[in-house]
Amino acid sequence: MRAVVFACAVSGIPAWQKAGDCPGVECQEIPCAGGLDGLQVLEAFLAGAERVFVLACHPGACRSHLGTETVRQRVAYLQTELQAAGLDGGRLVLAHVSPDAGQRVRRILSGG
Amino acid sequence: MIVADRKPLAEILTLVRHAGRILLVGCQECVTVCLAGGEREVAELSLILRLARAQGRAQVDGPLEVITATVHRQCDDEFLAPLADQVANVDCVVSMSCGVGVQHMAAYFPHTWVVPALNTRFAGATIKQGLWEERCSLCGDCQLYRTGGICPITRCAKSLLNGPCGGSQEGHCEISADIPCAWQQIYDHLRTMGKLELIEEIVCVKDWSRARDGGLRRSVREDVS
Ligand code: SF4
Ligand code: SF4
Repeated sequence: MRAVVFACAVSGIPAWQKAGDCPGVECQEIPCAGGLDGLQVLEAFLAGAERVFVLACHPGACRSHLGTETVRQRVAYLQTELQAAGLDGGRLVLAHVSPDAGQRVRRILSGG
Repeated sequence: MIVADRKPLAEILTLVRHAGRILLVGCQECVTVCLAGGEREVAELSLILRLARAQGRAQVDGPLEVITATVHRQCDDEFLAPLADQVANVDCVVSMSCGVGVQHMAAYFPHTWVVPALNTRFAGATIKQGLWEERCSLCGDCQLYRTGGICPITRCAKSLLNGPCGGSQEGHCEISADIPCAWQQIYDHLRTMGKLELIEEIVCVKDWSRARDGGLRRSVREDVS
């Protein structure tokens, strides 16, 4: 497993589905990026993921209204903790995507 | 409730640096409510400690095995007793309770090294999601009956007992525009309640012997002991 993606059901999942085959990348659907579970992120790194991506809606487009802000704060917190643990916090990536952004998801996953 | 914050990870890593196997114990009472030492925080710290140790950094000693448990209360023997077998098999216990629980654990298992993962901060309340604020300094001689339920000892930066200092500015304390002046709050509340006469009473020197200054405090109920 090279990477794990946590994708919001509204934006991230449709975009992921349009991205085509991404070998070594495992995708998990979450109802809203604001509900990102920090424990799952840490478990993914402990299981050997090189990177963890969170695909969230663009700010203002979140159906739960607060999801994009909540996930921003949660990712920032987790990055600080990862950094303190000696990992590069940049291995956890938050990206905002629209449901049809398959190409963009491909670029994000390949580090572009 | 007692409000605590988790210690920085670097400090906790230092506390467990010689351990190969630890028991990380949470508490389901106050520190669960203030999101510092409940079951979820135990799970999170367990993962992050293992991640850190798996990095093989020079200042730590290899991988760490973490056993986790969360008990109903760490400040009562009956909830610590069931941990005995697990405690016997670790190099160190890391307690995620307040300082009371840590001390109780250390006394209950006198041959085990027990360290705190939290900094115990204050007796306070939840103000909103993610914000806890101090409310009581445990002075042992409660004055709230004269101040409309607003504690001047805790909420006034100078613990004044006879009205505000000269620094009270438009409802704010002089130490910060973010902090309300407790005496303004007391005045406003007494006025709303029609009890402003209470503020006229001069409070004489308070008996601080019932507070920390009197040494170790005890509470006794002979009828139940
Ligand atoms: S007066 Fe004393 S006991 Fe009462 S709330 Fe204030 S510090 Fe606590
Ligand atoms: S401004 Fe108010 S709260 Fe601040 S020290 Fe003075 S009386 Fe106390």
